[in-house]
Amino acid sequence: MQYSIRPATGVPIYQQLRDQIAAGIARGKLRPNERLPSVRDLSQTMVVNPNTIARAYTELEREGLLYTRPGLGVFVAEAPAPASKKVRRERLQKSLDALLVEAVQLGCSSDELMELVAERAKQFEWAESTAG
Amino acid sequence: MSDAIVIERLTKHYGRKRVVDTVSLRVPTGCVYGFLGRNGAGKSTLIKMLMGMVQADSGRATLLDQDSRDQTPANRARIAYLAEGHPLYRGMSVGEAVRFTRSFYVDQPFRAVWHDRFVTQVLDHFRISTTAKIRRLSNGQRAQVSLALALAPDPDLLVLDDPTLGLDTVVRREFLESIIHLIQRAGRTVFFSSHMLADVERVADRIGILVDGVLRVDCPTEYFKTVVRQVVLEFVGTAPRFPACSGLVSQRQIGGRLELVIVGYGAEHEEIAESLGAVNTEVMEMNLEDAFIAYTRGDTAPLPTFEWERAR
Amino acid sequence: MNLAIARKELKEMLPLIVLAALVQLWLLFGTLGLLPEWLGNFNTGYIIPFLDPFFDGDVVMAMALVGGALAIALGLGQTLWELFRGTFPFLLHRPLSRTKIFATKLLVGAGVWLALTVLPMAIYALWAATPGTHASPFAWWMTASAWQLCLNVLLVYLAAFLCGLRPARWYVSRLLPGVFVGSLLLILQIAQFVFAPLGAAVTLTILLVVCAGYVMAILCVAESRDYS
Repeated sequence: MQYSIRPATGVPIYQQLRDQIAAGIARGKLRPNERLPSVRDLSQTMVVNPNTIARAYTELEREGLLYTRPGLGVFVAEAPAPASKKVRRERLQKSLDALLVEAVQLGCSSDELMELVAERAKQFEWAESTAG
Repeated sequence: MSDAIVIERLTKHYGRKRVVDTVSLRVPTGCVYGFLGRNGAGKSTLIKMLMGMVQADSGRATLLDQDSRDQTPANRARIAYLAEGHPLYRGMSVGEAVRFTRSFYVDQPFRAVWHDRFVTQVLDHFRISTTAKIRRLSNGQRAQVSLALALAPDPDLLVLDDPTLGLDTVVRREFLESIIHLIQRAGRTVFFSSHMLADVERVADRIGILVDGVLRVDCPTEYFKTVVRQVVLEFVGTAPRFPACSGLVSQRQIGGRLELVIVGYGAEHEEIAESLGAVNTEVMEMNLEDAFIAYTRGDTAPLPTFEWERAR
Repeated sequence: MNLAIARKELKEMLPLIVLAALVQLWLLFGTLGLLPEWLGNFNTGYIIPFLDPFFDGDVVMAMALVGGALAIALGLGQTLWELFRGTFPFLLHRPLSRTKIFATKLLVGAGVWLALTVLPMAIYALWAATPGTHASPFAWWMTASAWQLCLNVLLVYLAAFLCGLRPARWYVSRLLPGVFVGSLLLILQIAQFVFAPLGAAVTLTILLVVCAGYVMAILCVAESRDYS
C-alpha cells in the first residue's frame, strides 16, 4: 500500500499518515495481522522524520487498530469489538449532519443520497450487523 | 541526557542594526531542529556565532556541553558543520579533499573515527570520480561530497546552514533522504536552517522562526500547525483594528474584512471579536507556508487596486 | 604545525613560489657565472659582492626585491583568498586549535622565505667567501646588510599577512599594517645613514621585536575576528 503526504497543508503529517492507514484498514486494503513497514523503512521511503511515523503508529495502536510484536514489527489488529450502538450513533451524527447539509445545498434528493451511500459502502469492509 | 545545543540570549549588531536579538533556545539530544526565516533574518549569523566563526556581542552558546568559543579539538571532531555554499577547496580533486579531511580524524590524540567505506559508497552512488576536480563538480555533487565528508567522522551533532540553497529539486530530495538516513541512529542531533518549508516540515521535530533577528516561534512542528489559525471577521462598514492581545500574530484590513492570524484561538479572542461588532467569524486551519508568511511578513497593507482593474 | 594544511598551502601558492624560485635561480646562477652569455651573466668582474646592496645593480638587492614581492603575494594570498572563497568556515572547523592552523600558515610562509630569500643570499655569500671565485675583498661582516634585508622581507611578509587578515571596511585602512612596516623600514634605513653608530645589533633587535609583535597581532586577529 502506498502512502503519500501533502506537506505544507494544515494537517500534521502524522495525522495524514494515521488517517491513510485507518482508511486502508477500513477499505480492506490492509488485512488483519498484515505486517506494516517498519518505522525506519517507511521514514526512508516517505522521506519523513521517523518520529512522525512512530507517532502515527502509536496513535493507531492506542486506538486499537494496530498492535506491536517486539522484534517482529507492527501489525494490523483484528477487527475490534464494535462500539456500542449509542456510541456509534453519537460519533457518526456529527459527520453525517455535515454530509446532509452539503447534500441539501447541492439540491440532492433524499433518495439520490441513499443511492450514493449504498454505492460507496460497497468499497468498504463492514462488520456483521450486530444488535446494540 | 543534556541538551545538544543551548543558546542563551545571543545578540549581534552590525552597525546599528540588530541582526540577532537576544535569541535563546535549546535543542535536546536526538532532536531535529529546523530553523526558518526570511533571507537576512539572521539565521546564518546565528549559526556562525554557534560555530565560533562570528563573535557575539552578548550572550553565550553551548555545543555538546562546551562553550562555543572554547571548543576543544575532541569536541569539534564530534560536530559536523556544513557552512553556507558547501565550502571546499576547489583546486583539490575529490580524492585529495577526502585525504585532506580524513587526516584530521585519523591518528589523533583524541578519540575520532573515519568511515572510509561510507565515503566510497556515497561517491559511487552519485558517480563522482575521485580524480575529478572539485571546481568541475555540479552544485549538487559538491553538496553531496561536502555532506559525505561531514558525516564520515560519525558526528553526534550536525549543524547545517541552509544546506539545500541553490540545489535543484532532485538534489534537494536526495539531500533530505541522506538526512533521514542519518537520523535513524538515535542520539544524533541535527540543527539546520532552511527556507524550504515543506522540507523542514517533513524532517524537523521542532521548528524555530526568526523574524528580523527575533525568535518568534520555538515549538514542535505539529504543535505549530495545530495552534496557528486564520480568523476572518466580517464587519458592516470598514473593519476596525484588532487590539493587541496574546496570540495575535498579524492582521490585515481589507474593506469590511479583518483577516487575523492567531495562535491558540479561544474565548478571549471571541469576546474581543464580539465587542468590536463582528457580524461573522470564520476560523480556518492554516498551512505551514501561510502561517510562516503571516509571521514573517508582519502587518502590511494589502496590494492597492490598480487603475486598470477599476476602469473595467 | 599541521602537515595536511602545510601541504595544501604549498600547493595553492605553488605558481608564485615556482616563479620566484626561477627568478632567484636566474639571479644566482647569473651572478656565479654559471649561465651562458645570452641568458645573462652578471659575473663581469666589476661587481664587488656584498659591497653595498643599495649600490646600483647589486644582485643582493635584486634578490631581496624578488623575495619582497613574493612575500607580499604570499601574505595576501594566504589570507585574502581564503576569505573570498569562503573556505575559512571549513578550515577553522577542523578539529585543531585556531592558533595551530594559523601558525602552520605562517610557518609555511617562513619556510618559503628561508628557501627563496635567505638561501640564495647565503649561497652567494658562501661563493664569495670561497677564495678564487672573484677578484675583490670579502669579509663576513660585509654580509650584514644582506641579512638585514632578509629580515626586512620577513617583516614585509608578516605585514602583508596581517593586512589580508584584518577585517577592514575600506581598502585604505586595510593597508595600515603595510604602511607601518614600510615607514619603519624607511626610517631604519635613513637612520643608518644618518646615525652610523646605529649598529647592526640595534637594528636587528628592533626588527625582531617588530616581527614578534606582528606574529602576536596576527594570532590575536585570527582568534577574534568575524569570518562571515
